[in-house]
Amino acid sequence: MSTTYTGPLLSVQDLTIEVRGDDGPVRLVDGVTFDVHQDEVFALVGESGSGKSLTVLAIMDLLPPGVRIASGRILFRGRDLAQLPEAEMRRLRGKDLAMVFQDPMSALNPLQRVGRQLAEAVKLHASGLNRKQTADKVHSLLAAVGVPDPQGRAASYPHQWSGGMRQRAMIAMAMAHDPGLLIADEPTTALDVTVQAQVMDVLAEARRRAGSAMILITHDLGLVAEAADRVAVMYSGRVVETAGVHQLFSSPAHPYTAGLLASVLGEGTAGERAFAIPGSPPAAAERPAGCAFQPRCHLGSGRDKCTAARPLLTLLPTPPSSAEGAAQPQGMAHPDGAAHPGGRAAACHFAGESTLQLLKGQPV
Amino acid sequence: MRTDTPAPPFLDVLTIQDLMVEFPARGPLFSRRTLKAVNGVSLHVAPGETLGLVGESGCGKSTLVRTILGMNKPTAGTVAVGGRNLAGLLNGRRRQERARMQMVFQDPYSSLDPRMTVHEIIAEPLRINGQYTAAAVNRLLEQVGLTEAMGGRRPSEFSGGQRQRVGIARALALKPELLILDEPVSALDVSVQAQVINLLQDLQAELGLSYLFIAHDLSVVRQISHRVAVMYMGRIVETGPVADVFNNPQHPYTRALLSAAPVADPAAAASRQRIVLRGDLPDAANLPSGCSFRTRCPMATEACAAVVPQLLPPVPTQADFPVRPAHQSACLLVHS
Ligand SMILES: Nc1ncnc2c1ncn2[C@@H]1O[C@H](COP(=O)(O)OP(=O)(O)OP(=O)(O)O)[C@@H](O)[C@H]1O
Ligand SMILES: Nc1ncnc2c1ncn2[C@@H]1O[C@H](COP(=O)(O)OP(=O)(O)OP(=O)(O)O)[C@@H](O)[C@H]1O
Ligand code: SF4
Ligand code: SF4
Ligand SMILES: [Mg+2]
Ligand SMILES: [Mg+2]
Repeated sequence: MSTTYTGPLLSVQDLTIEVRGDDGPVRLVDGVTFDVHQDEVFALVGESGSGKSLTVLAIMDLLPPGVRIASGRILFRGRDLAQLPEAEMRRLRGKDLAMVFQDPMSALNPLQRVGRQLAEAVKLHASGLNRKQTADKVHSLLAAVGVPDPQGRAASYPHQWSGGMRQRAMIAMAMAHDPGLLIADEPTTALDVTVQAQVMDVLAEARRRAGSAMILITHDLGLVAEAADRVAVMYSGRVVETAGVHQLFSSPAHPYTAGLLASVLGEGTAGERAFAIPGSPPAAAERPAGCAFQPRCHLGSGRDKCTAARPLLTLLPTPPSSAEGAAQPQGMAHPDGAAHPGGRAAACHFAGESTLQLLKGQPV
Repeated sequence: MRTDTPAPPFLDVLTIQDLMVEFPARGPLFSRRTLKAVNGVSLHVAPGETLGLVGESGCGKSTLVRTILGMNKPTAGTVAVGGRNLAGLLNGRRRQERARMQMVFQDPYSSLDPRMTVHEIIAEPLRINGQYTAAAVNRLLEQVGLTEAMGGRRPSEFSGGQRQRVGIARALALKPELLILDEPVSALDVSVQAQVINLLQDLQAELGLSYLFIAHDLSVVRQISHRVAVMYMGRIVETGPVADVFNNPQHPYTRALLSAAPVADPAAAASRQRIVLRGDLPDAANLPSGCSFRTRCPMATEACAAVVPQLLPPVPTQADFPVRPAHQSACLLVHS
């Protein structure tokens, strides 16, 4: 690890991921770009099926068979992971780069006791430990994520654990070696909100201790509001907006972001019909030539520019009012803060135009 | 929050009484213990009604569902469909009664066979029961907002929300009265969640369906439920009309649960008052005496170790916000 490297911890540049289709390759991820900085929580949100999981699986070099990186770079501490030999990638994975998956059952071997699986993860990068030390480490990792009776539980099989408990085991496994970057793909979706709050605290504490940054993928915009420093919103294989968390929620620039925020259920929507963006996203093989959101966009209907040209992720000026209002949460201030290049960008020809009306529930 | 609570029906679609489900568990030094995954649960769902079920991860919600559907054997208690106790029926008849309840699964990705077309997936339960016609499948597709043409495609060509529509269409095929939905929208983005919730509400209005709706996302539960039941360690600790429970929670666990729900507003996040539950989850195979919540309850007193609190209606008071009789909770403090 270079001590003089000062760039972002992770820099994903124009990442394209393809799968072989009947009529040639299909672009599942279509030019994704974002940076993750030391210590920050970077949330990746957006449409179901937009490519969030594939993007982070590419970072981990864990893409499913038949799915491959077609182009782009993934710089981790300045080194391109996409070019790294498999042996070196194995050394990084589970140690400096760790991941908690959406579905803990798929990551656990159903035929092996949970404790034994954790022990293997521990020993993978700490081969000097003896049996007793390994077992102690496993039990303390489980205790740290709030698993009751760690000894007894470690001796049981995954199907004997509830969904929530399994996810705690996954988090324990991921934090075993204090990773520099933790990728959490919906880490708390299976948990009740009190346990979710505890797990997020456990994650924050473990991150502080280890100095890890985190990419947090979630559909829970409440969780994003509480835990994230910066956010990227994805739609149909692309990042359509990136912004500091306060800016994103107070003045979304992309119509999809605005629609997403307007769909959040709450006390106010109870008893009424929920707002939902009309229609469905295009299939990856049938993305239109212009803006992929155009058929559903309240701003783009009937505008030639939207059907003709694909909007690129473009830096937006930071409105002075929102810069003032966007106080950083305590203890999470960034050296580069809102002024960070790429801190506020959107891929829309008419970014910022009347998106707020949607949020306020006014007709558009 | 739903205000159009249906009129009291003759017979509940689903009635569960004093249900117990135990699993063998290993104790220290190879001793054997039992884990009470469901520990005396009673609940009912009326025709046209949505009962939201929320609670601790691992408190027994999915076990309850599996037991209702006959995938687990109850240790004690009864499951009745349309007023008929399933345990008393012959196998064939029991299967028939169970078909009045269908399940919608959480994961729209792994619950659909990728090799089958969507038409075939929806046709499967119809074929098994000798009721298949292409028209019936097309009607189901239309009912959930998909087109006949889409039936020819495979699940991999569908978005997450569309796949969940397919799952709902399949569940509707045999004209059930009750859908059991275990985390049906948690894998979906919030706009697709809203679409699916709206669809479920439309189907309920159109077909008079009942839902047993399980979710961790409290705003989703609030949106779709008429009544809610809050579960902790195998027991229902609070139940009532959704507005009553959300606006005036009685049980300390419900209060902690509601206070922990994150709010999608970063400016408000810092000032939110969260009731932090201290201590670990109790071991389900070694429950504390008295109230199972007492090891983590901020209000616990000595009495809580001695008595198991029962789910009871409120004691009448002169309070400004009197608790309505249908709003029950299982806490000694509430009833003292
Ligand atoms: N192994 C695969 N083969 C073919 N297509 C795939 C494969 N894995 C994923 N896809 C497709 O790639 C797209 C992106 O999938 P991905 O899992 O990254 O979405 P996501 O943003 O994580 O969605 P969600 O929010 O639902 O988890 C989806 O359309 C999905 O169907
Ligand atoms: N087959 C089994 N053998 C032993 N224990 C089991 C079995 N199935 C479930 N359990 C235990 O029963 C309890 C209840 O589990 P269940 O899956 O019903 O919880 P849940 O409320 O659905 O949780 P979640 O919200 O995490 O999905 C847990 O402690 C679990 O470990
Ligand atoms: S480019 Fe046009 S269609 Fe696309 S999001 Fe912007 S306004 Fe809408
Ligand atoms: S009975 Fe006692 S321990 Fe249980 S919830 Fe009430 S106050 Fe808390
Ligand atoms: Mg995903
Ligand atoms: Mg469950």
